[in-house]
Amino acid sequence: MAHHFSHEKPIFMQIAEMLENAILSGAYAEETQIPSITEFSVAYKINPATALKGVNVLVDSGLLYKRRGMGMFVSRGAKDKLTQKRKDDFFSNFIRPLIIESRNLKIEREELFSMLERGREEYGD
Amino acid sequence: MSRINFMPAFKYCFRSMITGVAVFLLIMLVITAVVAVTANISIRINGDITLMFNAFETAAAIAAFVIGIVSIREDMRLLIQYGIGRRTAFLSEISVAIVIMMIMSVAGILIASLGSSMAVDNKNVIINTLYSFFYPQRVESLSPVIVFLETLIWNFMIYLSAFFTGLFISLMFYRLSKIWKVVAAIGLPVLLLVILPTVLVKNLPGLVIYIFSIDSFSDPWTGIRIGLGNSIVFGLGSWLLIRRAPIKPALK
Amino acid sequence: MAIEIRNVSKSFGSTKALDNINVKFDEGGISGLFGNNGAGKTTLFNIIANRIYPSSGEVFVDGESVADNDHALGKIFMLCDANLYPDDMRVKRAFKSTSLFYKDFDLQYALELAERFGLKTNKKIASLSTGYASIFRIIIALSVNVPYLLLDEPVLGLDAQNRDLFYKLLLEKYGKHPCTIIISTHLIQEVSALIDQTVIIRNGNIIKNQSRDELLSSGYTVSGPAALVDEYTIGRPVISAQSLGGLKTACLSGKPEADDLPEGLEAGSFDLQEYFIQLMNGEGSK
Repeated sequence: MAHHFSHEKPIFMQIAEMLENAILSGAYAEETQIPSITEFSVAYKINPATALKGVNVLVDSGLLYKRRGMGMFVSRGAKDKLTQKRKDDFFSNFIRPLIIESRNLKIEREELFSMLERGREEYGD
Repeated sequence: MSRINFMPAFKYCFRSMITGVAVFLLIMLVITAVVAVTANISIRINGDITLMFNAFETAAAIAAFVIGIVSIREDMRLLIQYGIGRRTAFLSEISVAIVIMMIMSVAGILIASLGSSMAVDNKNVIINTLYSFFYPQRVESLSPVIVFLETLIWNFMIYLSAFFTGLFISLMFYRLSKIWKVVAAIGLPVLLLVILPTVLVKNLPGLVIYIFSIDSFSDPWTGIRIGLGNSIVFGLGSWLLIRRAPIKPALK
Repeated sequence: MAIEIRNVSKSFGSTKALDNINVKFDEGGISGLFGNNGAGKTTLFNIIANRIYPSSGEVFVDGESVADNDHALGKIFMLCDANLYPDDMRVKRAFKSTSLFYKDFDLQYALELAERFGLKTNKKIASLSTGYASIFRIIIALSVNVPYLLLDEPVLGLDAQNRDLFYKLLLEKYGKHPCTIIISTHLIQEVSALIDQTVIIRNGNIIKNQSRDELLSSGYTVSGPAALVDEYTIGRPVISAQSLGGLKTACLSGKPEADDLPEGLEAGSFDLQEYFIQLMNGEGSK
């Protein structure tokens, strides 16, 4: 797998994010098994301990679980859980700064909503 | 949990040394056979000629010397790559040498007998051992069993002595710095050719005497003792040279 | 269970190659050993594998001293660019000899790998090109199955595709037969994601011995107008600094205090190779 890891963030965090994206997109479906730690480490040429750390981030947040003797599986409801988490992140990373910046520029409520509408029209739905 | 992993090292060194020796023995066998047969033919044509042929022992001693020089370096390098320490490498090398020199000894006697039997219909062609050349009186007077055993041990000690001499010289050049290499290159032949023979065996020059312990001593056991002494001295010297030696790849 | 290097020093004549080295490589990890040319990496490896003897100090493998100890040495396999095989030995013979000494050597796998890499097993080892000599050595390293693998510049002369294949095979092997791997290489960035413990040697001394993530989070960069950067770096531990006209970038140890960065300055991080370079630049100027 060709993938360039940025040095801005620890590799295991980037692995965790990639796993989350895969769950969201449905590439790793709920109640199916994800590749093993060795497969991840070989595919991305990373230390297995790093791969494990990334996987454990999702285990800790309940998105993955271990089936004894088999491996890691995507939890039921993981997609919804993730979508909610991403929405919460969206709120803090985008909405909050948007509000702050709109206040700085003194954009009123109506203008703000019409901007949102225009955005949706221009960039599709 | 032994610190010595002997068998693999022994097997490897043995396989490594026996191939060269096998080729040598084959060549000597062919040469002896050729001599036996052609000597037969030529003598029938020319009449009365006495031919004594016992080149095997001398050639084998030289071969043993060369084996001593060449084996240790190559074997030691591979052995350390494969996790075998210097002590084990040295022990296997000399164990293998002892076995192989014994094989050479026996082979020499066999080839001589074979040669003799091939030339047996001509009393004037004699293919025999070096021992019988130096000690014909013992061949006459002692029982064949004792003659066989003495020949065996005498040849063995010659070859072993040659091996250890080669081993020591090889290791000395391995460990010496450039200046000392020059000193050794001059000094060693002087030591072996002049000093030691004069000191040990007065008025008898020749590398062959000291290393090969061949001479018309009154009995072969003097030569055997000298050969043993030589082996032990050069053996110990070799160990001292090798025990803390850095192992580097061969120069291209 | 580990490789422990205790108080090891090595001098070659008047040159001190290693100065009182103390380092432990824990069992089961993949470690990186980095340093400039002549820093002492190969000397250290040679001492661990008993190719040379230390001037002082000792190396222990699982508690046993390695010096002249076949049992301890049999647990280590060292791959280095020095060819210690006989001149006339062919690849296949070398593979077979390896099984004589290492009972867990997988001859079948070695032959498969030879085919995969395109290595002709009837060739003489001494006649192999640099690239194929490396391939020959890594095939043995991948098939030997010993507890400790020391790899000194394993991918010398290998093209990008073969390097990629090597790292994948190494990780595959590591997953199937766990062992301890120490890689010494100049290709720092290539292996930075593979390794965990990172050991950096300079002039015979170990200057860093930490996990890769720890090391990377132990420093940061600050860039901006030179005057502002200079002001910022007062009283702070600076590793190195570079200027380009009026712009300056300083590399510092520690962590940037999140909101404390003055206006006009930007903080950043570096990758392992960049960190190493800055560290060497900084050390050099001392």
